[in-house]
Amino acid sequence: MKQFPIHTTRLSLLIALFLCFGFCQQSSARDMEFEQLQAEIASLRETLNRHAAKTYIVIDTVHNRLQVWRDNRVMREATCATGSGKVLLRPGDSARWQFHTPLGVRTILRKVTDPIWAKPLWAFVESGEEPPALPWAFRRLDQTTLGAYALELGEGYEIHGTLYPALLGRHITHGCIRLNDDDLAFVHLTLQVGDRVYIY
Amino acid sequence: MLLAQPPVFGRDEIALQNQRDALILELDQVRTGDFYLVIDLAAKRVHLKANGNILRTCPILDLSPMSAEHTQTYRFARRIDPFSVEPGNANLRLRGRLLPLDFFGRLLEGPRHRSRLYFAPDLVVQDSGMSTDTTPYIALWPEDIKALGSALRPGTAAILIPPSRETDP
Repeated sequence: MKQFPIHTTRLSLLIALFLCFGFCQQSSARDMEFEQLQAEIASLRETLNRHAAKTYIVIDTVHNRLQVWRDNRVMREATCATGSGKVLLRPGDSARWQFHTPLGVRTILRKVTDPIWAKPLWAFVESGEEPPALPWAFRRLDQTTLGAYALELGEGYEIHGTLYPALLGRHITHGCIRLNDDDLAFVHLTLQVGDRVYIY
Repeated sequence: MLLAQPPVFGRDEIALQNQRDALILELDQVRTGDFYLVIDLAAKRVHLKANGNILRTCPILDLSPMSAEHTQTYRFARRIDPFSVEPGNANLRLRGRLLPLDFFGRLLEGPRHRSRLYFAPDLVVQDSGMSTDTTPYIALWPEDIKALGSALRPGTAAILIPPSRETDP
């Protein structure tokens, strides 16, 4: 059997050790890069979560669906009614109203129990009645239409109840979002003033 | 010599880099407060988001091969529905006419029967089972397209995370 000289064996061993050391160095550099990336992602996620709301409402006006989200999970899904998009014109006048639900991001400004609806001018025009002269006239006030609760979203838009639950799931409102009694009670209890409402 | 080589990034590292880049782009969007999309081709999901909150998640049913290798921001250009009116062209030939991104597809197929969402650079979000020309596309359920179409406005950002190698179609 051929014997290798002792110095050749040592040299091979040294080269093997050097290669192994180089590989380990490269591998640890990769591990460090990997860990650094993971830490960076975790930090970015944390920053993103600081901007995100904990509890919020999402309203899909195309399919008339309302969802209550908490901690990135849907807590409740409900059928709602949203704006009809119809246009109302006052005869002999240039007054014009279009009834669509506003899209975008809104905030709950106020929560009201047993809300009273002060009928606006268009409600009288629509029903063909003569509007009362005084803005605080008793005839303007309606205690039943909005249901047990209302969540104000600004500019007269609200999430409220309905007298016609059979019409939920349709585009029939004057811009507000209507819910049935159970869903409305849940939304009223779960959401707080300042929570966001996303409408698309 | 081995020590002098830069570390070689594998599939996992590239996926992580894409994830990090997407989060950086998302943070820019969060500050505007507008709706935006995160098109995650690796997870085959499209998320409609605002302020970092998920508003809707749509599964991707089908997609064409994408040339994008890195995370990038697309912009919503326009939506064409079956009832969309084409701009008039009387006595003008093509002068003064804005061509939609998928103009040649429309020229070949005629009027569309389903809604499509056009993004720039070239990307179409459409219903599954529809023919396209060479424009890269993503197929979603029709109800998802309707819902996203309602949320998007021209200029809305869509952050596209490219697919990992193993999920390439």
